[in-house]
Order: sequence, then structure tokens, then C-alpha cells
Amino acid sequence: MSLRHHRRRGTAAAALVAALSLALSGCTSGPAAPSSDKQAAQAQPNTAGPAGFAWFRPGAAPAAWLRASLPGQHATLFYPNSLRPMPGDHGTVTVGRDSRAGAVLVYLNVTPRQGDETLRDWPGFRLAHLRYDGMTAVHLDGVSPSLHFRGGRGRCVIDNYTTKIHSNHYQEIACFVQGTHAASVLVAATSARTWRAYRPLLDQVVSSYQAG
Amino acid sequence: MVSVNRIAAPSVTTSAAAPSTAGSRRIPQNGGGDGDGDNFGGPSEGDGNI
Repeated sequence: MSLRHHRRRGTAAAALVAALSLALSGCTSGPAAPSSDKQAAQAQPNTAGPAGFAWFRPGAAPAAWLRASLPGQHATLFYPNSLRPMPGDHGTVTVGRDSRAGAVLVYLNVTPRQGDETLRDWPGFRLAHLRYDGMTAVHLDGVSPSLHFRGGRGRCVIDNYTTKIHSNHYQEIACFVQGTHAASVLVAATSARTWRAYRPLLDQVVSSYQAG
Repeated sequence: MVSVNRIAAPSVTTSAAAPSTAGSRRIPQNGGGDGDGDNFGGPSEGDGNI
């Protein structure tokens, strides 16, 4: 992936958010996307309710959505057809969409469990990993209890961080999901600036995830 | 193999990525060898190379 695709977003990217978010969300419903740069800039990291995970309701994805499975696993990501496969490590699944200006609008990644992460230590593991990868200003916004995913159990964190390169500020829902046969990590992220706009879509992606 | 399929439609396969072998499961980050977005300012992936 070229540097151009991940350079710091410009104002044009924010202006595209309103139009693109509706298209990206497909069959999702939720709050209206920001309609201007000002509104987008005012969007702050937010969680739904005190626990932050009241939105999680495991269930089938809309029929029109696409799916991508991890090699050799039952773990399956469902996503709207407005997103496209993106470069990623071998053996992983990455789909998403960038703005024309190179800003990340939606980023979804599924990776087989590679480390020693467990349901119990997932919150600490994820944040430590972000810091290990050079992220700064890593901030935990929410931690879920054990959640019933389709085909397994999982635990999620909502956090935000700033990248070492280009100082991009992202917010994510990152889940460790243990299925019957295998465990995997699901990341659903967007720019912190567009978090509110794409949150309904990310929530639905996480809720429809099929464990391996 | 990463398969991308439309639900309830004939299979459409794209991007033939070889599964990682046991000996190469650790994925280098911070520009450590791969070309993924999180080495260039993109969102962090779900790898567990810690």
C-alpha cells in the first residue's frame, strides 16, 4: 500500500463523509452522517450507553452484504458491497474504503490469532500491541464483557490512538473472538473524525461477525 | 486463499493469499518487512506480533 493512500486527510475527505457514509452503510440505519467539515470535526469519540456495548446484537448480516472468510477457518466477515478488498498480510482478510484524498473511511481486518491473547487479557493485550507498534496517545474508551458472537464468544475494546507515521487519529472496535475451532481478531476502524458517521456500520459489521 | 463471496450467489474468488505457515506466523510491523497500511499511517491490524 502506497504512502499516498494513508497520508493525513484533508478537508476534502471530511466533505466526502456525508455522501459516502450513506452509500457505505448500505442497509444499515443510524444517525445521520456529518454534513460538513465543521460537524465532522466536532464528532468526538463516543460509546453507546454506559457499558458502551449495548449496540452489540449478534445476528445475520443484510442479505446483500458480501462475505470473506479466513483461509481454512469458518471465521467470516460480512460487509457491504461499497467496500473493497484491500492489501493485507497473507492469511488475513482486509476490506475497506478510502476517500479520494487518501483518508481512511472504513477499515475492516480479520486476522487469525497469532499471539497469546485470550478473552481475559484482550483489553490489555490490544492496547499494549498498539503501543508496541508505535501508536501514541492510546486511549481506551470501552471494554466489553464476554459477548456471544455467532459461533463463539468474544470480547471487544473500543479505543483510539494516533499513528506514528503521519499522526493519523483512528478509533476502532477491536475484538478477540474464540470460535469452536479457532480464534481470530476483528478490527473495525475509521478516522476518529468520522467515527460518529461510520459507527453504525462498524457496529453492524461486528454484530454480524461469524466466529471460526 | 481468501475467498470473497456474495451471499446466496455463485462463488467468486479473489486475491489468492497463501495461508501463513506455522513458522512464519509472526508478522513484522513498523516497517519490518511487510507493506501493510499500518506501517504507513493506516489503522492497526489485528495481528498479535507482540
